[in-house]
Amino acid sequence: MLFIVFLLYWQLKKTAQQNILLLLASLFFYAWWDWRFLGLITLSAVVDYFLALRIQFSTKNKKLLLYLSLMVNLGLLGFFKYYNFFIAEFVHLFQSVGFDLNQQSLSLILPVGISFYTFQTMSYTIDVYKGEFEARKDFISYFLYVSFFPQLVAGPIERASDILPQLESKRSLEVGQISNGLRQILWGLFKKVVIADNCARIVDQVFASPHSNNTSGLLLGMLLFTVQIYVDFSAYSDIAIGSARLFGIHLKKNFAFPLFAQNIPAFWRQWHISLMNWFRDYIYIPLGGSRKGKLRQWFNIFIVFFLSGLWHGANWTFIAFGLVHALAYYLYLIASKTFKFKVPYVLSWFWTLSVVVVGFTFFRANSIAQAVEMFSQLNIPEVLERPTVLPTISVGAVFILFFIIEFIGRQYEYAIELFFAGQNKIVRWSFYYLLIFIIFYLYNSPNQFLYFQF
Amino acid sequence: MRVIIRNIILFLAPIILVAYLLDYASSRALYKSQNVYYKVWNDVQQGNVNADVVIYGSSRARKQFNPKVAEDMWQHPTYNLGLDGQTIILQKVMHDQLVANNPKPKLIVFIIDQFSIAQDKQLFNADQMLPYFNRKDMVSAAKYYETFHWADYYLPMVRFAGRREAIREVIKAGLGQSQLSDKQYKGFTFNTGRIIVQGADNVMGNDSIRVDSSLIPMFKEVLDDVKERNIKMVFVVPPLHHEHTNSYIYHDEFMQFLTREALAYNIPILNYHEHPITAVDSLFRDPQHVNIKGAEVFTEIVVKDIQKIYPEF
Repeated sequence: MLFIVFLLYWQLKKTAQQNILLLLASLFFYAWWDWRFLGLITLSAVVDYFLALRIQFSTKNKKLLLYLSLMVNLGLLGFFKYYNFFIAEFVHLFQSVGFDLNQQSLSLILPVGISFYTFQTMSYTIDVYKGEFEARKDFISYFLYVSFFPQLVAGPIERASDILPQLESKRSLEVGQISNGLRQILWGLFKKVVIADNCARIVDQVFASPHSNNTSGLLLGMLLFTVQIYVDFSAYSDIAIGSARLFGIHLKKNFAFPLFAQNIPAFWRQWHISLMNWFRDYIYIPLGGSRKGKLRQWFNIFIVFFLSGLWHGANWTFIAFGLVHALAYYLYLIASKTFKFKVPYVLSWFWTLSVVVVGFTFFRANSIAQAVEMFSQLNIPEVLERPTVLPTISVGAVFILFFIIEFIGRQYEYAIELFFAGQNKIVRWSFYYLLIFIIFYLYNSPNQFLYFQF
Repeated sequence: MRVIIRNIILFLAPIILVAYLLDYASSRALYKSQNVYYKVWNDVQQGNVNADVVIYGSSRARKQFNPKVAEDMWQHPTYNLGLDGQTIILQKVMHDQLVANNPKPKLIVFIIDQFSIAQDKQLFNADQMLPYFNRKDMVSAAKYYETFHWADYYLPMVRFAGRREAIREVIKAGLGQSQLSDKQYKGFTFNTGRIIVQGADNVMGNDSIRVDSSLIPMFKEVLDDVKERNIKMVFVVPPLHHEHTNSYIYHDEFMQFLTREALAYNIPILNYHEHPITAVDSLFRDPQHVNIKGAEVFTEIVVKDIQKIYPEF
């Protein structure tokens, strides 16, 4: 499909025609998942299209219009994503003080990508409200910005100011750009199929029955989930960014090798960058950021991490994930003021990775109780025992190779962007053939991308 | 655009070429494999079964009926065609291939339980199909299941992706290193070890192993063909470890079906579902399979019971 759209796209001479084709392809792609939710994405887009225009051209009631936009978007998100969670918690709260309420939960299906596209439409309207971006009259390019298929279901969450100017200007076909896109797609596939899906095999076993694992097995499961979620999500971003490049559109980098981060603030600058920038620009800074005193800064940090946890879904485990990071962030702020010496890279990296692993253990666990139980099962003398579950030698070797490549390529857009760049075609292509062979050999029963559920 | 298309073609051409060559070579290599999963199919297709008595079934045939023990008792060449995960879909293909390529057997021992005619859409041990995608009968059987994707049928080597054991067997067989295991005899492969009980109950109580009415015509076709060729047949309902017989919740439904068909075709049933051997822990490797000792005991019991029905054996 991608290849057919690619061929047709570059046969079209006019930008408007190319946008129509991409929009149709995007809507078809979305309908392929579940056609019933086409109406929802259209509603979200149409509401913000008209409200943004009204905000731009009216002199009064701007704030009211903005609130209306936020209400619609957050209302849709809240209904589909959080309704059952809040009803259950509400009923539970009343039951705990003696009121007997009946829980009216609905069997709701979470529309794919809703957390991503509502954030895009909201940022568009907010930017127009703040006068930072001009509302567009061209509905096609605006709707394409909301629904652009490579990043529709799992990001990156793009800003209108980055995408719409690209959609409105002429794109030119460049061989280098296409090769770059295809290379990034290949790397994304490698990460997903070889690394993430093979991690999932072990992780699923460990989290399905933590009791049947020893300490080293549990630690391996927790660590591999951290690897899995990073690789799985960044792989999707690579495929999305690479696919967009095929159409001459540049999407923002969403991950900057966060597992090598030396502290928690750095981790969050490198992890799911587009979401954290969204929270920074539309929550943290409007709340005052660090400009209104320490106590307020700490409160703002709490809010951002609480929301970033909740954004992932209606579950206390996600909120716990956010709060672990908020605590670690506070610790970092205190330590960086108190201690003036420089901590060696390995130590600060190890500490950061440990916090990240703890956070993702909460994230992956079925409940907070399960995560706590897993931690309480850890027994230091068992750390050096042979883990109850282990990857095969070939999978383990490829994991190590992967991290070496990631470390070497960490300053690039994606790890293999400039791998063998100066070498001749035979050397470069041999490397790509090797990746394809490893994908073939270590292919596992495919799992859906983890972030599709958010 | 021309440069891009040319580069893509140049990049893909060696992959496609190598994939076709490897696909051919891999299938050829597996035709020579001594691994039980391929050897049984190969013997059936290449006319090497040469047996008076053949055993049909799944892993409850492969691991539980020892042809060596049977041959010693009834002095008839015996071959166990049971393979893991097989249901009537593959058993019918195997039956058709057997009668087309081999001398007619005198007796078919059909080890049958509710898995044999179940609606499970996942093919357990799908590796056994890999070398035979050039055969229409195998492909059409494989299409019943959701295990394979369209690309597995139409693109070379795709079906081997991630099947590391099969790939290793391709290399071994290709290098002439594939050898008959000393745990293997005419399709029978024995298990040693202890009882592993985890997860067994879930499988046995699963709705997906209820009788699939859409498969009944296929089952009847086999029985009709056996009748037409004047081959004797006996149904054998295998033993399960006694702690798990109750979790086999659709057993009665299955037995009603089997009894009806057996009466219609005049085929005797030997039912070991609640036989005393099911209570002997030391004979079982896991809830659904006996071990090497259990196979010896079970085979002896079955052979004796068959001899009571068909004294000529």
